[in-house]
Amino acid sequence: MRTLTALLVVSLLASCFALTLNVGKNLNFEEILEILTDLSNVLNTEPPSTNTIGSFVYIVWEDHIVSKIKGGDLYVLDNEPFEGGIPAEDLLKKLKIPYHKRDNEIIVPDTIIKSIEMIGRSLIVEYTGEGSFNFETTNDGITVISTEEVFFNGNVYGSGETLRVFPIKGFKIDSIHREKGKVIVNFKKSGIRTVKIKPISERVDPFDPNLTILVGYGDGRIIFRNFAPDFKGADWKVYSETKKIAYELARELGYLVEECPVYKLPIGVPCFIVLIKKPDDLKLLNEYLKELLKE
Amino acid sequence: MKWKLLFFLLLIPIDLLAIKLMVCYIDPASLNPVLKTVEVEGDNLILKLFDILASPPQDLMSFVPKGVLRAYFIVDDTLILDLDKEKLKNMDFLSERYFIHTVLYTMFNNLKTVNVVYFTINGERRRVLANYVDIRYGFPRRIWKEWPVKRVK
Repeated sequence: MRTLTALLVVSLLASCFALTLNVGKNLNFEEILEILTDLSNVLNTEPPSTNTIGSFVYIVWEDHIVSKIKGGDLYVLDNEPFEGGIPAEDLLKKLKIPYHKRDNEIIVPDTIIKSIEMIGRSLIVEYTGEGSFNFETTNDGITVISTEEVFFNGNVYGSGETLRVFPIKGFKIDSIHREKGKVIVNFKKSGIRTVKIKPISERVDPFDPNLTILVGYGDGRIIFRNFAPDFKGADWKVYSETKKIAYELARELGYLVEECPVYKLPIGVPCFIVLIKKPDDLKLLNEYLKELLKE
Repeated sequence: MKWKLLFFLLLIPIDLLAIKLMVCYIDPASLNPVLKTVEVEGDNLILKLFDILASPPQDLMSFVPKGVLRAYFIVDDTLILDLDKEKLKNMDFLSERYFIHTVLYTMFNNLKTVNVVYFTINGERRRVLANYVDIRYGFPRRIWKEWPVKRVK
């Protein structure tokens, strides 16, 4: 390896994938290829390909081309020439790769977080790369923290930084389901659950610890949310709990049961809609639910 | 020999080439599903199924509006149905749910290799079908291979 680029450090730390490059040092052809291969893992894209036409060698990665003449010192990155290799920072800028500088180093995150969303009572994080983040329940609520260099919402976060806080208190993590590119966290409230009955016009608070039932008038049916394949089983627990109560209630009242993802019913929250046939059924509903919670 | 074979093929009644499909309509009094078998010929079966779904027999009803399907795609075991927003805009709570139920029940019973159905509206992922039913996530075969409204015994 040439002296000029010997100072390049591509460090794969034992626990992470973060790229660390020296500021101001020029990268040669092999190093560029290695970096682009690593970046493909972080961005979840196709790895770079190389080709040779006569004495002309080039790398194709995404919409970018890096080329040089064999034995020559002139590099061309997307029609822009660089003498003696391509500076690391220029390469990252041109490829629009997020990074941050610390002392004399350029650090490229090993994880790019696309979104952190609370959907119903499930926290869903979508990302590419290594998934270097974790979850904590603190006094401030539910916190998503980075465990290595992470890019999120236009910023690069170092290890241990807070990416997002959801000010939801009194809940603890029930389960964490990890798959490639997505993490689903479910929460639960400890303690005795009670039932809250609300008119159908109101909304269900996903973090209300009560079992919430929305009541309206109709033809005597109970509507509850089905599970969805997108959650890879993370919503099955709440689905089966809700289904059990809905079926028992329907049996007691002689009602129909219907599975349907009504938007008002948050994901991961035990809740359902009851369309009662007549006003007296509301009294029966209350009585039955009291009995159910005693069990 | 070739001519004999061609002549023989021409003798095959056209109804042997048709595919028998199951279509779900709704009984207007009970809101129970009523299954009808129809024969469909040629390609574009899903489009034809939607046309048939939207044209119920006289004594039955359908929650599927005419011309609601804009396009469809099948990727592995996933069917994506792209719907016309304009055709869905006047749906109420019942119509939205029963639209979803009749379409999914019909699709899963005819397309045995499809395990998940997604809906898009005018080519885009949306939150709700019109106002009430959440279409952000996939609809699994395990639930809609049967009619999802049940009387508990």
